[in-house]
Amino acid sequence: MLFSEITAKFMEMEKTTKRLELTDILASLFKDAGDDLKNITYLIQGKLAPDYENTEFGISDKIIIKALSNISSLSEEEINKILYKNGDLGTTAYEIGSKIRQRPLFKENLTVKYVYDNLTLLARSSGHESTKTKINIYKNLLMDSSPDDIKYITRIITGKLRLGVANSTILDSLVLAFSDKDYSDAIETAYNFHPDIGYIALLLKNNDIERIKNTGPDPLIPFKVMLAERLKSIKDINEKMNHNSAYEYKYDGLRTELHKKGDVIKIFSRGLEETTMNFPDIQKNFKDSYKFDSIIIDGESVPYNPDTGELYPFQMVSQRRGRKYGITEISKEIPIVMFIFDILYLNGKSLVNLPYPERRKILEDNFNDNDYFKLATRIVSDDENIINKFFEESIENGCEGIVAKNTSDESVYRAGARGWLWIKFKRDYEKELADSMDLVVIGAFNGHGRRTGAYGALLMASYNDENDTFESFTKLGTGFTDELLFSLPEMFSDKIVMKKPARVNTKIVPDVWIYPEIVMEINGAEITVSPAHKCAYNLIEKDSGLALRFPRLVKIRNDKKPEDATTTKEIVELFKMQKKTK
Amino acid sequence: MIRMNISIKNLKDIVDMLGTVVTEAKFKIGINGISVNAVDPAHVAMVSLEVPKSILSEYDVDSEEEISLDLEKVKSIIKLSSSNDSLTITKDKDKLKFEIGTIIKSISLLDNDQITTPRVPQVASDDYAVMPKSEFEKGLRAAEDVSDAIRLTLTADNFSAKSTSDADESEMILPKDLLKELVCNGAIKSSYPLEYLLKLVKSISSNEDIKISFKSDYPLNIEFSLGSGTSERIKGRFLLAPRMES
Repeated sequence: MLFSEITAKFMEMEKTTKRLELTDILASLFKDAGDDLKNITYLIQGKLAPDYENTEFGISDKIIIKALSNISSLSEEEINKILYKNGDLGTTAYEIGSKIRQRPLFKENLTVKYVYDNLTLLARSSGHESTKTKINIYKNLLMDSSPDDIKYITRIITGKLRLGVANSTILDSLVLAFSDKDYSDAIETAYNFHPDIGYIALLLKNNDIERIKNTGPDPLIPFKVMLAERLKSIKDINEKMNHNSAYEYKYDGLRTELHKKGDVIKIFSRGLEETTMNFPDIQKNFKDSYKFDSIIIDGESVPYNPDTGELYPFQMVSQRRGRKYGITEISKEIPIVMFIFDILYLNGKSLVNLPYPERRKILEDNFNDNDYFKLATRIVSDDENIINKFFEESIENGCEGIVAKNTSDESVYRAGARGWLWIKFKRDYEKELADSMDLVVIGAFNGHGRRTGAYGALLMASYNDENDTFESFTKLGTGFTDELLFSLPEMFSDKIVMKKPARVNTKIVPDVWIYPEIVMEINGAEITVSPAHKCAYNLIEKDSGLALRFPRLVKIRNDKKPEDATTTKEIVELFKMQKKTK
Repeated sequence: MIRMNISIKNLKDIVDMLGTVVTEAKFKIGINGISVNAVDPAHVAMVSLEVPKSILSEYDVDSEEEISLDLEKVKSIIKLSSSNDSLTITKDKDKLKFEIGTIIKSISLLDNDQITTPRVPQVASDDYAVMPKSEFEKGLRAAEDVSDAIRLTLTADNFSAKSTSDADESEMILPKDLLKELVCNGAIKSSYPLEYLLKLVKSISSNEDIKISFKSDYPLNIEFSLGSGTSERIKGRFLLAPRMES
C-alpha cells in the first residue's frame, strides 16, 4: 500500500469529529491495508509498536527545524517564524515541502512499508552520530514525499498526530472491517490481557475468533490491571458481596505487575509502562528469592523505613520513578516491599479463570514472606465489627484502607475492568465526596491580576468510555502551588491546539484548547446538576449535565493516560450515591 | 580473497570525491576493477567512480565482492602517509588491513545492508560542452556569495553560468573558442544547487578537463578523470538534480 493512501484517510479524518464517521474511514483503511495492516494500526496512533515496547523517535522539534532549514535554504529563524504562524510542525513541513524547488535524482516509491522501515531506523538510531542519522532519514523521507505526506510523517515523529481516535475506536473499526458478528466483549478482554492493537488486528483479519477468545495473560506482556469499585460503608460492601468476601489491606504504593519468563524478569506499571529500570532491586530480589519457570503476579510496591519496618507514603516511591542514576543508593535508603495480592500465571498456565480463593491459595502455597515480598494481609469475614477493626488496623499500619474481594465461584481476574468483584473502602469516603477523581485537562483560561502570565483556571473533563469522548465537568482554579501554577504554560506548551479536539465535548469555550493528555487528581465538595457542563448530558436531567462544585487539585497524575480518567459512568454512580446519603 | 596495492594519490582522490556526497560508501570489488556509486541523503547528488585494475600495481581478487567503509577512517589512514607512498590493502574476514611502510592498520567493515545501494538514474543528453575545470570553477566561485543556485545555459555559441539575488548578480560566459568541445542542438538552460557543484568541482585536479551535459530542468551530468595513470584513468561521473525556477 502507498503511504499516500493513508495520507488521504488522515485528511478525511481531520474533516470530521463524528465518531461514527471516523470509525468508517478507519475501517475502509484497514480493509485495503493488506500486509501492512499491523504497521498501519501503529502508525495511526503515531507509533511503531505497542506502547509497552517504549519505541520512541527521540527527535526534537529543533532537529526537524534544522533538517527543514537544511533542505530548503531557509534559515532556522525563518522556519521558526513559519512554525509560530502555524503552531504545528506538520503544517510547517507541508509549507516548506511545497516550496522546495530542488528536485531529487530519483524518488523512492513511498509505500507504507518504506515509511515504516525508515521511521523504525530513525527511532533505533542512537549514539553520538544519531542526530545526523535521524536528520538524514527525515530529509530522505521529505524528498520522497508529497507535501501532504510529509505533514503527517512529521506529526508522527514529533508525537503530534492527534487524529482523535483512541484504542477503543480503532478496535471498533477493526471489528467493522473484518467481522460480521459482534465479538466486542471477547476483543476487549483479549486486548486487556494483550494490549497490542496490531496483534488483535491480525487475529481479526484472519478471523481467528478462537484465539481471540483464548487470549489470556502472557509473561513479559503487560496486561491492564483489574480495578475496584467503591462504596461508602462496610455495610454496603458486605451486602453487595452477599457476605461472600475476603478483605485485604489497600496499600498506598505503586501498582506493580511482575513478570518472569525463563531468566527474564520485567516490571510494569499500571500504565503498561515498563519500569524494570526504576526497580532493579525488585528484579534482583525476586530472582534471588524464588525459582519459577514463568509467573505473573499483581501487587503494590510500597517503600518502607529499613530501620523500623514502617511503611512510607506513596510519594516516596514516586521519587524513584524516572530516575536512572543513583538508584542503588536510593534502594538502600528507601527499600521497597512488594505486597502480592494476585497471581495470573504460573509455570505455563493461565490462572485468571480460577476463582479468587483458589488463586490466593496458590499464592500461599508458593510464596513465603521475606523482607521484599509479602502476601497482602487479609481476613475472611462478614462480621462488620471484625471488618471495621481490620479497617482501623490497616490505617494504623500506613494503608489507605481495605479492598473487599469476592470469594464466589465467579470471582475471576478481570483485566482492565472495574467491577463489583473488588470493592475498595477508604477513610476519606466518610467526609465530603466519596473519593478524589482523575480528570483530564481540555482547556485553560488566561490568568488575571496575580496570575497574569499563568492560567487562571483549567477546564476539566471526565472520560466517556462509551463514545470515547472527554466531557467537560468542572473549572479548576484552586489547589495549585505558585510554582506549579506558573509552570503550567510550559507544561502545556506542546499540547495547545488551534481548535477544539475531535474527542472533546464542551459548551464552555476556554481561551486555549489543550489536547487531552494530562490527568489531574481532583477533590470536590459535591456533584450537582449543571446546564453548563456536558458530563452525563441529558442523562440525569434534560438539557443538563453534571458538574463538580469547589474542585481542588490534589496532584498531577503522570502515571495515568487520559483514557484512565474517571469515567462519566462512574461520576453518575457517585452522583446517585451522594443523593442516597443525603 | 582481496589484495591490492594502490597509490596514495589515487586512494585520496577516490575518498575525497566520494566525501563530497557521503561519509560511508559501498564498493564493488570486481575481477576487473572497483566501482562505487554514492548518493547524498536527500538524493540530490550522486558520484559514480570506475577504477580499472590496470592503475593498481597489484590486484588480486578471485570473485566479485562488496565491502562498505567509513570514509573518515580511510582518510585518517591517508593522513599517515605521504603523497608518493603506496599502500597494500588486504581483506581479512570483517576487517580491511592497510599496510603503509612500517605501519599496519585494520579497520572494521560496515554492514553492507546498512549502506543504501542507490538506483543510478538513466540520464542522457546529446548536448554537451568540454572545458577546463579551472574555468568552470572560476564561474562557480564568483557566484558563491550571490545565491545558493546557479543557472547553466548552453547555446551554439557559448556556455554560461549565472546567479542572481535581489541585490547582486554574477555571470561567467565561456565563448566557443575557450571550450574544448561544444555540441548544442538548440539553447538549453537549467538551475542547480551551487554548494554541491562547487564541492565536486573543487575535488577535481586543476589541470583536468570536464564534460558537462544537461537539458532544461533535467539532471546535470559531469564526466571527469581522477588520479594518476597514463593509459587508463579512474573514470568519474557526477549527477546533480535540477532546481526548478520559481
